[in-house]
Amino acid sequence: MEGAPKWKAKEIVLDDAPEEPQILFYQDIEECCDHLQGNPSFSDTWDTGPKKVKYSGTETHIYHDPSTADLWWTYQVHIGCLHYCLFSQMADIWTFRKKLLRGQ
Amino acid sequence: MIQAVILASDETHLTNFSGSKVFHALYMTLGNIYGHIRRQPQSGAWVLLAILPSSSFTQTLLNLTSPQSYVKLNKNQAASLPGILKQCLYHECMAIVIDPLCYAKRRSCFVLGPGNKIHSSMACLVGYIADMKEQFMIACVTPRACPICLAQPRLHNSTIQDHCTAKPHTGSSTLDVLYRVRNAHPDVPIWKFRTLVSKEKCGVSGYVEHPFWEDLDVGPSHFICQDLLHGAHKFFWDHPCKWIASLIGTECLDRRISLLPKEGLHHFKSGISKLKQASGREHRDLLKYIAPALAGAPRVTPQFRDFILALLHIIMIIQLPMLDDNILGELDKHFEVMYANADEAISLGLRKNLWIPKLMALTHFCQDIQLGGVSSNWSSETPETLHKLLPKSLYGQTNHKDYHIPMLEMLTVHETKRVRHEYIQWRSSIQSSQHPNPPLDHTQNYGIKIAQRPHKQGVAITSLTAKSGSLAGLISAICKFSAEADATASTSTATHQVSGTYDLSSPWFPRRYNKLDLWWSYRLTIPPFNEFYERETRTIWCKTVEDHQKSKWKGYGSCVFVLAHPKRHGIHSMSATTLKGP
Repeated sequence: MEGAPKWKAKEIVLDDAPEEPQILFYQDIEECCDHLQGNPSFSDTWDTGPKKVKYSGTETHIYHDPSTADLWWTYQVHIGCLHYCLFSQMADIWTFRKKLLRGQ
Repeated sequence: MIQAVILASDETHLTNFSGSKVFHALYMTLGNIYGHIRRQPQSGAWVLLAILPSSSFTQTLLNLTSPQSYVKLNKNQAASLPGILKQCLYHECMAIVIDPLCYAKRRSCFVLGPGNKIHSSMACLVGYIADMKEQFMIACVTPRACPICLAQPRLHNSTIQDHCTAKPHTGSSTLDVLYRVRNAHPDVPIWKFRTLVSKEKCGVSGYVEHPFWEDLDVGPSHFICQDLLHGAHKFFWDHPCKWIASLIGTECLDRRISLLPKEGLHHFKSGISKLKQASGREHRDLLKYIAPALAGAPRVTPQFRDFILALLHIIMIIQLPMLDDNILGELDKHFEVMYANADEAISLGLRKNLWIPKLMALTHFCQDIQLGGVSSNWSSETPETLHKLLPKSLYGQTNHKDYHIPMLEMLTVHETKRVRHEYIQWRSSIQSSQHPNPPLDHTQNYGIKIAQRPHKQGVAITSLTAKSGSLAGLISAICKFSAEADATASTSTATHQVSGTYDLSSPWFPRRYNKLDLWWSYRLTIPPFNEFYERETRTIWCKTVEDHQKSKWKGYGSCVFVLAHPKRHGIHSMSATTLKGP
């Protein structure tokens, strides 16, 4: 488990207000996510993926935490497709190499 | 695995009575954490992600409006300029913070996660909690339009029902307008750009040319969440409550509310009009009182009553901890009733029109629930509480000058300490798990609990029964109870038919009940009836008036609905009228 994420500062100068630079203090959002994910106190109360909850034998959708709702599901489907594409590309490369080897 | 990022931003004042030190905080949490943990501000689930700068750009405005300036601003443009620059600054900052979540840039990487396992994780934005003012700023729409859908209120032949049927505001529809105007006028400065965009009459504000969600794969209509605290509770307090007060009169409403029996924690003893500093809890508790206070009140027409009841139904349903498609169907019916009777508020002369943004936004709660789960996930209550815990307490420890960096340093120290504390806890939990304890039986936590010491000790049973007529049946009930207990204990086949009334001389009356200990309240814990609900604890009061004629406390009781067992004797078999005090 690592320590807290580092703070960063950035000076922002708007094009229309060059005389008044502003300072933004921020943390890297990915580091913060990883920090929260690595916190062992949440390990028992953690949703790893989206789920669809229904009453047994019916098609009635139950909504509760964000993981039971639709937006997360769409994201996962999207990313699942992405992984799938990557794998199929890898398979293509693999067959391509095989073909090359055969050609030799 | 997806890390479901939830953002929340809000402005707060650091000083209490004077000064204009504004702190614009951006908080972050993950939707992966279970809701009941995430809603606790102290659980460590929330992180202060960024401090957004806020400035009123006085110097720039002075420079641009001075006589030596090379641009000429008219009065309107000069007035709107600080607002434009503020929004530009906000979007610029958010773009920097959000940058790793952009569709083109986000990558999955391997992160140590729960259960000591490595997960391939990717962060995606699922929600943004903001109040109405910020929702307009995020979606880049004018305050007259809606940040979620393309409905255009206030135009002729548009109604408040339009929001149900209008198309959602995809990000591209806003961006299209901005590109089109920019292409037509490439060299226009930002203060003229706004007026050009507003001439398009499509609800886009044109304050900002490049919104921060430009590169995300979700539009503002998906990630902006309706806020339960402001959108439902505060809305009801601010609008329908005021209508009711002006319809039936403030004193009448106060009197009616003060006469109602106490329900739950709060009781409005002197009505609501005298309340100073009403907080979210008062707003929420009022919803329980307003319907009985309205019943049979003068000047209330059936349509108006139906309108208020439909609103109450809607607000109660959207804050349920678990919802399903059937309940959402019911919600639609209540919306229909509400829209059908909404015009009554105009015909009673309470409002000139019904263009209230929060009233119109109520219908978007349905969409939010389907996209991101129940609305208690999206209440701004927790972020508002965080203001007190994080910025305000840290600011108090600084010397109030150039306070940003000392605050951040303190925050880092606190965070590191917390991480270390959690690590030690985790280590000790691992070591103790090698000698597993028997798991705690949670069912023991349910049932009835009374205080260790009785509220009144050793009261003679005769004095109780003599004082109040309603307790006259007590001796008979005890006799019946002991007779039954004897019958079951001795397992004799001959059952005694115990009926009629008894007095102290009866052989069935156990002598140890001559003196009784009294409790005036008990705590009832109701087990959760499915996994989506938490267990509920209620204190049930049953203080009668006669006991306290000398003390300053008045008697009061809670309303209890008892599902009586048809075959059991004892207190269950008595009807509510028998138990009622004089």
